[in-house]
Amino acid sequence: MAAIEIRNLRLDLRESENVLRVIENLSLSIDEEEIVSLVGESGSGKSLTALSLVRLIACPPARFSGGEILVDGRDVLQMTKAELRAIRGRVVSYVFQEPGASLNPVLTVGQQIKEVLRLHCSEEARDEDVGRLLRLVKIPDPQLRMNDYPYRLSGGVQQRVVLAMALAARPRLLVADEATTALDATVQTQILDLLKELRDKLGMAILLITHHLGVVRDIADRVAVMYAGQIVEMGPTKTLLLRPLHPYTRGLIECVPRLGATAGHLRAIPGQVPRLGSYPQGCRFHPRCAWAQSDCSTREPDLEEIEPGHWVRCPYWKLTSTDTGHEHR
Amino acid sequence: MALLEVRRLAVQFPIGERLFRTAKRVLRAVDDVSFEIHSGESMGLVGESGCGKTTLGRAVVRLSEAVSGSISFEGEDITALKCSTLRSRRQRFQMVFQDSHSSLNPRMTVEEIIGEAIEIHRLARTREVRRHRVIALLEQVGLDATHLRHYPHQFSGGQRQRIGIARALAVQPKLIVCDEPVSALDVSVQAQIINLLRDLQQSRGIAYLFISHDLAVVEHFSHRMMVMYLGKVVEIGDTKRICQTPRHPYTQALISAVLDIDPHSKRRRIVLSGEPPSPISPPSGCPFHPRCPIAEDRCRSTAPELRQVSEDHQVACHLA
Ligand SMILES: Nc1ncnc2c1ncn2[C@@H]1O[C@H](COP(=O)(O)OP(=O)(O)OP(=O)(O)O)[C@@H](O)[C@H]1O
Ligand SMILES: [Mg+2]
Repeated sequence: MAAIEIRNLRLDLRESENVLRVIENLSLSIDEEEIVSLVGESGSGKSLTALSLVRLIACPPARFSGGEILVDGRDVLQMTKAELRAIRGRVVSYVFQEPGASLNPVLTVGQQIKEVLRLHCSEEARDEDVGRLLRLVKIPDPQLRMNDYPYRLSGGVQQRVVLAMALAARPRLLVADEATTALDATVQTQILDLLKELRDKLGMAILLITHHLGVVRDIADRVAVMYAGQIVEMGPTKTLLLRPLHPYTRGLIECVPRLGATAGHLRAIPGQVPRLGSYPQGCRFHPRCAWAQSDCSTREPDLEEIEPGHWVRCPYWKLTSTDTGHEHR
Repeated sequence: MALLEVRRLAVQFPIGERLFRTAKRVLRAVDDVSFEIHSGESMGLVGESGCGKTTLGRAVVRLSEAVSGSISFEGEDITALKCSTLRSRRQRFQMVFQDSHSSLNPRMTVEEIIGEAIEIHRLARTREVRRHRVIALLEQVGLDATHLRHYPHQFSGGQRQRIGIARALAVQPKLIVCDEPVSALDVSVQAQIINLLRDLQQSRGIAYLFISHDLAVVEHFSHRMMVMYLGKVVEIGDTKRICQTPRHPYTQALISAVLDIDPHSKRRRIVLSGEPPSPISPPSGCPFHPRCPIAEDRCRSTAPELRQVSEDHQVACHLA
């Protein structure tokens, strides 16, 4: 069963005179206990997609102009303020990149966690409840840490505290938006291991937003690749990494150096990432695509299911999977 | 003779207020670091946040002052050079920063930004000559004359990084310190910049001190590399050798933490307990011992010195 389901979501953004169509016809469903990764670069709309789930986007300037987001058969886009409050934190909760920005510098760790608990349960929270949450995210010496202020903690421990707060109401879906990006490599792997463990222990689903395919490979069951406001490829992690069919996915996989495996020139993707909402006509990736055909600049490709569960937005996917493409710049 | 020779370099920052009668406390950001870079070579520098990479890079180009040790460039000791002489030497070593947003003056056009470097070093006699030089530089980094009158905010992150590189190239340096030059860029654009830096190395024989927290990028880019932990170099030498047979337990952990994208790859993951300690109160003995999976008694009391373990490969570990 799906923990949450996005159907044909459209989101517009008003920027002075223009209306930018930042997300178009996006569909994504996340099953209970599933870890799905949304991969994309700046301006691809991945964070906006995640924030849309419980409408954490200021409208205006944004506007939901189509689609549904279904939780328990109810559409989030039609919910009242009170209904939204009831699902925020309980059904979907968030962890962001900078733990420092999510923590209040003048409150101790214990005080902040109690505040979150109070928000979700009516009664007063106790030290035991705080300790239980800190142990859940594996913070050593919870009794001591409870009385610390955030600045005394390292980035990794701060992120664990933020995670504890996000888990306070036992959400069905945890959204981790670049939650390990700012952490050191050795700490990043610790947090990824913790996320997997929490999924198993609490039975929650995770939507992990990242630009790092190594993170995806480490943790995700399924992956959706976003480019310029659209999903361009989606499928089981292993399939997608071993047999990417969209030229952009292939480019992403080939352009990162890998330990012990790369020499000489890297296969860069030419050009630049388009700005949020200012997307090219036709296939949005065509100006940077090594396989672009004459009609790619005019024809908008659909997301098609090529094999069960593997979706691709490129009518020429057969070319990319057999041919090596034109020489890149 | 090495192009750059750094000997026992130390950089410290004062911390807090100087308290009544107590000695001033210091943070040892770079502690007794020695290495050399040969002309046309790239030296990678990796390590976790706060270990002193940026501070070391800035000290090398004399943007931070050393408290002890020496830096020689082409055989000349530049550690104590004063302003005017230093300025003329700066022609030969430049720095490219991570954050192209704050390192390019937002009120200057591209022509002015790159032209300024040419001006300071009096490398062009007339405006016309200067403009031609700027255009030639832009073309070398994949931009062109149409960009002359644009301001930094009109460019993408990758393009701004190209402008920063063009500015560094303007004075025809022999060494460029690149501090996380691709970390702020979109992944699809990172490879363009890495390729550009490599091409420039090949065509102009530029040497790099290449700072990154991404070990895979460093392995790809550098001939030699060093690993820093808490202000100290714990392993240094030939890049391939270090990545294939890392000898320091910290380097081993760093390598095991690289997340590969190949679903078939299986790497032994070394889980370090805890997190980097604060450089304000570094541990006794080996700085890594509180997190080290194999630490013994002597690691807690005696700091290991760098020693040779094979050709061009040195490690600071009692047990390596
Ligand atoms: N101007 C300064 N004044 C005081 N302390 C400083 C200053 N610059 C750096 N430090 C401290 O020196 C240490 C080394 O910092 P540095 O910026 O060199 O690390 P780094 O390895 O570049 O880290 P990162 O990967 O986060 O860029 C840190 O503890 C830092 O807080
Ligand atoms: Mg730095």
